[in-house]
Amino acid sequence: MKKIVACLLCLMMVLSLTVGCGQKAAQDNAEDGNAEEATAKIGVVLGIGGLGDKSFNDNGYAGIVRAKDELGIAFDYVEPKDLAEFETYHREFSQDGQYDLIIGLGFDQADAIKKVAQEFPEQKFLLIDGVVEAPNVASAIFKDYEKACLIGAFAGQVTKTNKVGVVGGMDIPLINAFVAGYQAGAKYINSDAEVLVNYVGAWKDPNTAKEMAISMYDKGADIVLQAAGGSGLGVFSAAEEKDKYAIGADVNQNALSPDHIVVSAVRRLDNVIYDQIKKVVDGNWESGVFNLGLKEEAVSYALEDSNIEMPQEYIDKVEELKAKIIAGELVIPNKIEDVDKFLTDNK
Amino acid sequence: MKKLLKFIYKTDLLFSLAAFILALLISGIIISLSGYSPWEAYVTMTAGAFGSPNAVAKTLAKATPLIFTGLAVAFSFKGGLFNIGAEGQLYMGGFAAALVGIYVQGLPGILHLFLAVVAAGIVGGLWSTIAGYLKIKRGTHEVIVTIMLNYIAIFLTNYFVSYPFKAEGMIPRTEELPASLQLTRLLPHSQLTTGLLMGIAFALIVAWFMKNTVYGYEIKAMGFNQDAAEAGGVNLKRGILLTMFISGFLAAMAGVTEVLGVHGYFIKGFSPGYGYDGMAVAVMGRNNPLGVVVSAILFGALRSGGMLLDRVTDIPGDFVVIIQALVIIFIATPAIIKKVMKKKERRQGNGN
Amino acid sequence: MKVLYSVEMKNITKRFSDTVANDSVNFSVKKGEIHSLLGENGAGKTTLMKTLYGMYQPNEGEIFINGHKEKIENPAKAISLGIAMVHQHFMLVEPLTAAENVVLGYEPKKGMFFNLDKAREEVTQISEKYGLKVDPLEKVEDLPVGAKQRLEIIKGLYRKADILILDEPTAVLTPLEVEDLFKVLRKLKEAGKTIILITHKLKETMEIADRVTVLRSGTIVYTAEKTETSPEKLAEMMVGRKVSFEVKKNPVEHEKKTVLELKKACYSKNKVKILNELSLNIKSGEILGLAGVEGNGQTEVIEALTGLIPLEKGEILLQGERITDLSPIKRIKAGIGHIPEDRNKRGLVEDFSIKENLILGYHRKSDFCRKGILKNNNIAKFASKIRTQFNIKTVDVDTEAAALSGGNQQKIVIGRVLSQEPKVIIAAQPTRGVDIGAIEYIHNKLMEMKEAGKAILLISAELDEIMKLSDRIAVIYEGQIVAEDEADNFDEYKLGALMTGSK
Repeated sequence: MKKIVACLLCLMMVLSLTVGCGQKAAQDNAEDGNAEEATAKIGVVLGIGGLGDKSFNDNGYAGIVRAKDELGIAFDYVEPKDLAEFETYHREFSQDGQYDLIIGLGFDQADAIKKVAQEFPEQKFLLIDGVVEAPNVASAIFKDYEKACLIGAFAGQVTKTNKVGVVGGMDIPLINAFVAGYQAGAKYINSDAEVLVNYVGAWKDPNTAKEMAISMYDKGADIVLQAAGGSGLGVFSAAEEKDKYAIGADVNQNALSPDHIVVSAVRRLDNVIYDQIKKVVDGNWESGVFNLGLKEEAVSYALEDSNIEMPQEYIDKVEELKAKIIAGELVIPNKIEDVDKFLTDNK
Repeated sequence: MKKLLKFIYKTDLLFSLAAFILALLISGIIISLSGYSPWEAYVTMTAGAFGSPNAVAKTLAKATPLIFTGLAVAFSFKGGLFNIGAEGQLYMGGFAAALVGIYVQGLPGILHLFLAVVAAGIVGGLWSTIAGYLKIKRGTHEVIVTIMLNYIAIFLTNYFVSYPFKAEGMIPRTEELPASLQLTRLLPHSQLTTGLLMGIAFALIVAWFMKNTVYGYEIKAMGFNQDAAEAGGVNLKRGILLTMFISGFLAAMAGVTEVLGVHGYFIKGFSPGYGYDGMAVAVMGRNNPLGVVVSAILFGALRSGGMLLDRVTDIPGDFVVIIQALVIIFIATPAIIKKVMKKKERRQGNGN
Repeated sequence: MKVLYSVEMKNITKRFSDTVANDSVNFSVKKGEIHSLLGENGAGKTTLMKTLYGMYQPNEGEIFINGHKEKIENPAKAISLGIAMVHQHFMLVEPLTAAENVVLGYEPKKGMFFNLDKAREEVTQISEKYGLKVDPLEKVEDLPVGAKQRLEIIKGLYRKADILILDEPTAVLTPLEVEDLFKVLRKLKEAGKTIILITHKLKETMEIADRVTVLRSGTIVYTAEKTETSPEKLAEMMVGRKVSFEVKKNPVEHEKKTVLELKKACYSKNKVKILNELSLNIKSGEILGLAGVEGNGQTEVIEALTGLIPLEKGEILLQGERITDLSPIKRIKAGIGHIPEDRNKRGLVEDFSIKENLILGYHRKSDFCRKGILKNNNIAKFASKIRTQFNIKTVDVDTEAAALSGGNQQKIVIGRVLSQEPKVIIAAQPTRGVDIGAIEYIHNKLMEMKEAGKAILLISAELDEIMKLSDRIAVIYEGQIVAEDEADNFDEYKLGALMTGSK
């Protein structure tokens, strides 16, 4: 008897696991409905972690779904379980021959795409967030410092103390570009603004990040940007503890602490992927390395989900700045040492 | 043929096969309850695993590291030890192979390859022997130590490959190994390399070792009945160290086939848990080296079948994980019950 | 007048998955008699009695208690029918007192509460009536084995049992205790109780039983009044052929030399002294019997001699050479043959084949292995030879040892040691759990070895065995040798007294 109960329990548990999959199925079936007259067929190799990460993969997937809805494309996607599967999936999509574009999400697919792109020179590839230089590969990378500049401009206006902070993950070029943009934006909009900078030295250490943010608030900063990945959550709890403002990054993090996060810097993978698919549909797709910024709507900021109302005049000023950047009037520095030159040039 | 049947019977492989089929049946029910066609799922999976030379190559490529980790776990079981640390050992071994490949220069190709493989084996073996040493010196259970060593090995190699030994670029990996060191691909444009042949060779060697050497004899005696082995003059301490070393050596080979074969460099996080899957492979293969090869191929087939399932159907490839879990439940549970019953019977038999 | 039967079991068949433990057994016990249920190990005696006691359900057959057909689903039903069983392994709750154990499940109550005084009173009453001496307030874990057994009997009587089943009751007792037990049994019989005695010992049967039933391989082969049978007849029925009991103790003529010597050995476990300056001399052409109640240091003597435990003090000499620090394998090589006391623990690797078991401990010898490679052909040949020589009953030498009977398993252990020409043989419980046929065989083999000039140390819980085989006897008590002399100078009672520390 006990055995039967145990069996049933097991079965129930397994079934409950599959409920989630069932939902996905319904969605997929709907997609297949108009697959017959598809304008293009796209293969998607998601990053490890797959859908449901509320970040990178979900964001990219949204662009594909939008392309399906608006452009009438069809697509197949896979969720690799390990690194070795990247290469296999890219090769299998290529061997199939029916895909107009194969998209790989994440820099760790670069080697796989490089290898397979050589084997199938006719096949088009799109690599997101990494670079492969090949005649049949488009590589999309992001000018994260441009969005950082806008964020800095918000911070420079919001601050009452003329002191703003940024907690970086590590002292590396990628993060420093972000910090440089932030400094440039803050000081450009508010010449009295002072920017405090510190680095956690790790991506998963919210405690240290919190300590750093608290010390910044104690030094008089009233708004701090997190640019530290998983460690960044510590900045938010510091803001809650000190009742000061904070800024999110990567995706819209406003909802994490809506009373303290005023704005988030975001990437728009969905826009990038949509644009690339559109080019395929329109027949003007080309390979190359695309360094994408505000102009391409690849990076942006998000005010939604925050309970703090951003005054319209601040937004107007930031939009003005944005227009200048898009127009090429302002070239945002991506190195900390270039910030001063930028400021003197653009007084 | 008759011999084969006898082998299957003797090693209980039939039992494993039955469990496998039962798992497929139940998974089929789950698939259909979730609103998909099990028929479609299994047809697709079979095609994905065996439908073309490429599919077969994919299956065998996926099986290759599992053969080694399966052998590693099975070997430790034979000696009555539980090496849960294959995962860490394969990272350490793979990293050692990469270092030898990149930094040792001026050796002829074959010798260089041999050196890389042996270095990997020794590093993996010694890593595993730490657990054996602590067991005989301090009495700490090898399960705990090997699990902890996994974390150390993974994070240590993560660090190495993210900082001091990182190649140019965004990806945390070492430089590409010289072509002379990379394992030959058995099928062009596939991930199937001579690593598979190495795996089969090692399985044969392990089988031979167990049957024909005095060390194999002593390890088995120790595994079956430590007290009797001790009374029979087996040096338990030496036996434990030797078992852990060889087990770690075998696990390290899984790192070798991935680093020198599939990737061509050491990359952070290259193993999705081959070391842990090795336990399932060993259980399904009944700790018999050739059984391990067969069950590794079955697991490889599941994974490559699952990949096609994910790609061409709406059925989530994750079903493969359910099948794997069920296989393990069906095989492991009766095996445990059987063992308990046997012990009970013996006890009763003695009381008579 | 119709004979009144307390128990009648008709056509009882009990199967366990693939084996038939009882095959159409007809077994009946008269009211008020002591009935001995005799048979070798594995003959099905315990199974039959567990069926009567409700622990097993028969596949076929009927049971009548006092003339009424009964279905005994569980021990509780058996108890309600007046049946009690004293198991070989006592079913007592160690941390509770004797009185609490007796009344457990049938507690006398005062209102809602447990009435301890009443319990003690009743226990004392029963204990005095039948001469079952037990202190009711002593905790069971502090009681000696004999007292635990008496307590089990009291428990049965307290539950108003008329039919008492005793499973191998003398296995754990010294001769004096056996005598006491028999007195109790006779008293119980006088009081009209029916007693079933499960045993494989002929001597006891002849001493106490009124009637005997012999079981062999699950079937009843013989039933008789005691007065109408003889030990020889019973043994023949048990084994299925004629058995000779006598082992000729031929004293070896040539000079006896000390081969293995244990000098002032000390060993403690958990700070308790187990061996206390213990010395032993084992001489060639002689069997030295080590008598003692189990747990007085015998195991440690064996393990010290074979190198499985280190000595704290003292030394071990083999033919005058110090071997105190040698590893087990080196001692085996030096000629110390070891027949372990617990076959399933130390003696055999049950998952190994017979072949593999036959070389354990000698597997590094050049006959079996060269440069680390086993000579599988030689091993197979050797195993077949030993199998014939030692009469191990099996299909082939590749069979797992676990598949064999206790006797055949023991033959593997003995064959392994004796075939390697050891200088000394440490034979611990060489016939434990082994049937009469094999006992006879093993005893003869040991005698052969002695006559061939080997030095033999015999450790046995069976006093009969010690007395029958030994030339000299040493008595061990609390880690010391309390007496040592020629075997002829001891008798059972003197040994029993020495073993229990009462000089």
